Amino acid sequence: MIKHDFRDRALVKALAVLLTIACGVCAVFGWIYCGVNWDSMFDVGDFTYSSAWNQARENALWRLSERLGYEWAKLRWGKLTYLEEQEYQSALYDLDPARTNFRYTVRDNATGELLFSSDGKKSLDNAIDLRSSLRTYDARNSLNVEYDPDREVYVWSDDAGTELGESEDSAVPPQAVQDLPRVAWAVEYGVDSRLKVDDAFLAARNSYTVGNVKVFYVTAALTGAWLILAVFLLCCAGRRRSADTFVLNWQDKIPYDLYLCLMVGGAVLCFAGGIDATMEGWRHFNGEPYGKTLYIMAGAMFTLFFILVAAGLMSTAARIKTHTLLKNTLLRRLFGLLGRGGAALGRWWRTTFGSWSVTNRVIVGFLLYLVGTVLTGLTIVLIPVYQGVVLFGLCKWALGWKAIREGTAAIVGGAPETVIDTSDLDRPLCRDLKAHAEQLNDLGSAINSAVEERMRSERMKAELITNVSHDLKTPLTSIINYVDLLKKEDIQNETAQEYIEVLDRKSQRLKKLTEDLVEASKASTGTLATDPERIGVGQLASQALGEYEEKLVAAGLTPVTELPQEEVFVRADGRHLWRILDNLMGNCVKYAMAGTRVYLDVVAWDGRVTISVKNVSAQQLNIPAEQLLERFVRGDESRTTEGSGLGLSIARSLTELNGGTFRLEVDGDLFKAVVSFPQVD
Amino acid sequence: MYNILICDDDRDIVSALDIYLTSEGYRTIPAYDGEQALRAVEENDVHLILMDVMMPNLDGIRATARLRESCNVPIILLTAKSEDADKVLGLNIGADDYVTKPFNPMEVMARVKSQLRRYTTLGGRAEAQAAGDVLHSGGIVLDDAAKTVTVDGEPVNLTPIEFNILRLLLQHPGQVFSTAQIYEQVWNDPAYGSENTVAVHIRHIREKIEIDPSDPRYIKVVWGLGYKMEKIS
Repeated sequence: MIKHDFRDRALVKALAVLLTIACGVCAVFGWIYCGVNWDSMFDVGDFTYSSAWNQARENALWRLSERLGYEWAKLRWGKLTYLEEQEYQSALYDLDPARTNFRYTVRDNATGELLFSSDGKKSLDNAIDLRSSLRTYDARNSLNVEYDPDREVYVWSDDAGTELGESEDSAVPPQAVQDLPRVAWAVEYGVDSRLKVDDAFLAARNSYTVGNVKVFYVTAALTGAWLILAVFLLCCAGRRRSADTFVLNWQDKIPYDLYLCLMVGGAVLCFAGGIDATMEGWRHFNGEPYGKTLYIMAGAMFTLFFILVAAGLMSTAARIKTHTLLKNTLLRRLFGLLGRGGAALGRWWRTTFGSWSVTNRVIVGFLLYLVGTVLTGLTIVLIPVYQGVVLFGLCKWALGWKAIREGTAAIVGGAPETVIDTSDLDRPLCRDLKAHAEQLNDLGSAINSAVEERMRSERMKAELITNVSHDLKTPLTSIINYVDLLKKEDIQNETAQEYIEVLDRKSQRLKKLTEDLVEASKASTGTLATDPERIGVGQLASQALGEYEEKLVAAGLTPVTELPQEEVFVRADGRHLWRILDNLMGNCVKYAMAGTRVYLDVVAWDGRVTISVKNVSAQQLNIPAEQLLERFVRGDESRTTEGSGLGLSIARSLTELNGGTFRLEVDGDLFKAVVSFPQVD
Repeated sequence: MYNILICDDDRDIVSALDIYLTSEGYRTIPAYDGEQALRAVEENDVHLILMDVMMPNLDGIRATARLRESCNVPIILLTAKSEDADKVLGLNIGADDYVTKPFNPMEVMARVKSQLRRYTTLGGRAEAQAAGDVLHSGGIVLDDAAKTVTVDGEPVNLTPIEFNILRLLLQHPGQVFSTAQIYEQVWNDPAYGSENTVAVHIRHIREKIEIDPSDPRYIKVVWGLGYKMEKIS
């Protein structure tokens, strides 16, 4: 949203543009005038102060110096060489009063005797711009002094090689030297005021014009006005009464670099043309009709120049205000095209390259690497750079691969919640690695959730069983107690007594069952804490047999034990080991055929201690060993015998909980349970 | 005539225990939660408390802790929780014994009698100690001179071998003896595979002196290592 004021009025803008053009053109003409008359503009003297006049005088004075030099040479040596003579004549020719307005007199400084002049003593009668100088020539200034060590004297000679004499002291020259010629010439010179000869002096006087200093002030004022107007135009640019934001006109939509080239080119041409025409008219056709034509042409060119300048400034300002200065350029469009082309090429390459098999990619990648090697091999500097870049890429790849390996190891090693960090792999070379890592992460999280789900469900199961058992125990207590009380009642009815017996038996079984159930669920979910100790297995077997002695005898079974000579030890929770043996022996008592033997062997072999319990089943074992380990499965399908069917399951769970292995073998009626633990010292 | 407080939120259990205890000649006071139990103890002269653990308002563990602030009457916990941690907690908080549900009424009666004997005949031990040659641990008193053993004052009949084994264990309370060591010390013979005999004898002793031989208070089985007499002051 921009403020609406007089700056968006078209009339104001047009007026300002016209004014800038007018001011600009006038100022340029003014500056040309000032430039041409710069010498005289601030001076108070006449034409003899003009630079052209000074130049002419310097030239003439230089010719005079040449002539005097040769005059001295003639005096010193008596003659001139051929070339010197030519130069001397040339100087004389130039200094001839018929050819120059320059006048001079040269006198002996001591006597005042006139030696040389333009045209006699009256040379300087009508002269203006009079000046004077003293010139001295001394032959003693160019002498050679050599010391002769044989004779111990100084030998003097001039620069022509002529020996002049000898002296014993270098500070005291011989007489011949002191007699050498020397002159001091007083030179006076000026310019004939009548300027009868057409030479540089006359041209200087003719070309001399006195600049009016007022023109300079007006020009400066115009320039200032132009600057102010230009700033005003910059402010106006882009504003329009009908729009609330800065707007662009047709020329502002031309790409800026193209626009700038055209504008600057046109402006430079116009300006140069204008200056050229002006100077041409002023120099050669001043006051002539053709000169006027040239001035008009120059004015037109300057007008065009200032139109271009004003348009360019306003367009630039409008572009800056709408932030399109750099956006709307040919270069930018070109780069945009190149970028899009590059991106498209990249996409094409990625899709093409990415769709190839790994083998092809490796081959093509290697070939590209070879090409790069060959190409960079042409320049020795690029070899380490290129190979370094390739090595860097390979190292990056290797690091990514390492991260994946470590992550995989962690997932496999029991931490499926591990997430491999793929943020470093988001580069073209590592795309396969990234896909691999992401798949592994998915796999890990799937395993993790499965494991968690399973753990949760197992825990819930164990909790449920524990809670249910607890809830069962309270009513069960009452049942047992009241059955017991019933038994104590004096009941004559034999059938009723029989029923009470059944109730008693079954309530006892229920009690056993609830206890086993809690234990089985705890053991199998691993919520049971173990307290591992060094356990003597032989001792344990003896104790177990001691506990079961009477029960075995009562069941008509004969125990046969084979224990190692030396005690063997395992590391486990003693109470759990006892429970395992308790369950196995209990099984024997319950299911073994009366009158058979029960074998309890302890064998230490190959770093393991194996306890095996063997018995002959009373019932036919028509189920496989694996199934016997299932909960609630018993050897007799009819389930008439006592036991919960959890004994073997508990034994196995407890064995595994303590780091052992549990195995069942059924061979006909021969039942064999094998418990094995690693032996410790 | 002893007053026994029965505290359980299950009224059937309370009345069943009431029948058993009354038939044994005890007077019973029923309570159905921890707070009632605390009130009953204040109002009556209670000699023993049977206390359930899981009860509304105030559970057995807290009630026991509160009771222990003021009196040392024997407390037997009745609990459906059979985890070791719960038993240890109950005993640490001040209970004297525990019975896990579902319990055998006979076992409860035996424990009640045992606790009452110890609670009421505390002076008897001092007499026995004065006589010398007397070994004891908890309620077990072994008189080596008279060759008699009593448990909570009740005489127990042991065979000579059993007596010797018990004496050995009582002489070194807390020390674990392997079956071989026990055999060598009691039989005075080197043990060659005769360890089963020791285990059988120990089982017999347990059956005679323990209320629940599978969960012994005195002669503990250290599985895989041997046996030891629990050190009870």
